Amino acid sequence: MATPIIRSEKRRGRKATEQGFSLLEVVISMAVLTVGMVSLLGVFGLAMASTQNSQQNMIAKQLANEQYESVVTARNTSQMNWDQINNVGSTFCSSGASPCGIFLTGYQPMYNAGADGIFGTADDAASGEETLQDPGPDGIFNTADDTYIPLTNYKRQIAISPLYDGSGNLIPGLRTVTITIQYQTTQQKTLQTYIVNSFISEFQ
Amino acid sequence: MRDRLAERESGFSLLEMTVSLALGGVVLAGAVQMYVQGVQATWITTQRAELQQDFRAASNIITKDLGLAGAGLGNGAAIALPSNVTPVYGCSGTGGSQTTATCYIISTANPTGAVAYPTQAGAAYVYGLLPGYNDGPTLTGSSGPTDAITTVYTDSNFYLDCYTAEMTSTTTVTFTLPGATSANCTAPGGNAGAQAVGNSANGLTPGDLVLFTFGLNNVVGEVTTAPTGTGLTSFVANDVLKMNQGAAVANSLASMYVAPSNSVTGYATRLFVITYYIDNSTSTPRLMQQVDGHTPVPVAENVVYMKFTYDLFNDATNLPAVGCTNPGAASDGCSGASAGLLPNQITKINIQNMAMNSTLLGSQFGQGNGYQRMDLQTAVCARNLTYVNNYPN
Repeated sequence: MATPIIRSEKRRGRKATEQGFSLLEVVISMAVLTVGMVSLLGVFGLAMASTQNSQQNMIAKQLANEQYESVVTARNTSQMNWDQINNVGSTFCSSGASPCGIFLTGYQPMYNAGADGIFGTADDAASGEETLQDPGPDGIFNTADDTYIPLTNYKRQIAISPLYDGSGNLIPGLRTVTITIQYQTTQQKTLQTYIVNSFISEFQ
Repeated sequence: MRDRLAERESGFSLLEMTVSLALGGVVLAGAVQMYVQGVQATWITTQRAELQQDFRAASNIITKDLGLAGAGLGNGAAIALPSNVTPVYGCSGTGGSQTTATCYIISTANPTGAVAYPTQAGAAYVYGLLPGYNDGPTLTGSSGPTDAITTVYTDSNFYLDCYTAEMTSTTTVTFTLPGATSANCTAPGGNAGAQAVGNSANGLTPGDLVLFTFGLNNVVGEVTTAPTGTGLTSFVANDVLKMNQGAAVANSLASMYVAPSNSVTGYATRLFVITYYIDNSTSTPRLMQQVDGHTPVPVAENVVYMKFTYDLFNDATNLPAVGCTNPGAASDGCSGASAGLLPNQITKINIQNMAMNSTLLGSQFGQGNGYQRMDLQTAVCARNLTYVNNYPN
């Protein structure tokens, strides 16, 4: 072992070529790196969450289309007359008594279509909520462990409004249909909406 | 000596070494853990993205095709077929022979894979939509069969309707462009817009079904030999779909050829009979699309379950029949007034469940369930069926 004096001299002598980091520097840099890495982990989580969200968004799209298609179906079969293709309480009734319309206003739970086969009407609640069949832990459908997941996370709103031409005159044979699906993302617990805007004509 | 030794002494002390190794170890362990999780997350995300692509492909193509069901089939969307032998769908084959046919819609109840068209009072009919209740395979371990679904519409991209179809024998039809554009011609620009009848990209090929209109009669034939340069096309008997039956059989193409004038003219369109079913013969179950008498093509992977219900509308009672599993059958599963309703009165197709499944790589993901899934649940209005069934106002 060198004596302290010699060592200190050596240290001074080595100073010019000493290139490494001190322990303190290493510890600090590691701490900085860790903070960086941890924030990167957050990005991972965000990426996973948005993949999940896009899946929910697709489901919302299916649910919105389902609603619109059932309005078109009802129009095509003339199961409903033109006055009935309105929100409940609507005063835009072309022939019958006012108010007309059978589509419930506001956000409604994801009920089944009910006895009339049309989503968004008053008889839906009696038929219960729509469910997705989950194959359960074995991953195989129609086995004893299947579960049925209600779509409690989603809500649906249908708004039917009159349409006016450029001069402000009511177009009697055409209405706009706006279907909004509102859902809560599973990870971030934020409310998202998926909106379908379309038209419905009196004529097929 | 000591001095020289001291001069070379330039390493870390034992303490420094131990502390730095310990620290390095901790950091490395964390980094490895992060790497492993990153790899797993990448795998899961890739798989989920793939599932979503499959989902999009499957839902887009199937909802589009179901919406077209019955387009171009005319009033009623039901065409009587020759029924000496009941014609079938879901088969392909070469050489125009039933014996070499390969059929695909295989279920436990129907191992041959050929599905007969529904019959009504002894005659087979092609409807705009053919429900395939329990026609699909039962997937491993599952306790129930899947559904198939068949949508029927005319080809609106190949303008065969511009041609005059003339029967030159009981088994041959010659397609010729008339001098002036026919009233039936839907091609933009008339005759000039009509593709050659033997066009390699979209012309007639063996296995295609053709819907002929001769006066008030609609008949269906299956092309057995592609058109020659003069438009001469064969529809010989013993075809894989059993459409070309003898001149004595009602509703057959051959029966349209009347002696003594020995020819009949009319016009034609190509008919698409498109069946969707699940094929579980490969390791990953796939959604398949099979058209007319052609070989099926895969549409999406990982489709493990498919079930439909149908809503119908009874014009006579003005009441809907909803949630039917098998419209037109004796046990149709409907709630509501469904008596006497047929598949061409379907107004809405509910995709009850079309599920995508993808198994994770074993239990290493610690997810318990070991798979990812997506469900398609939506409805499609059968626009072209309801349109012809009911014309209000």
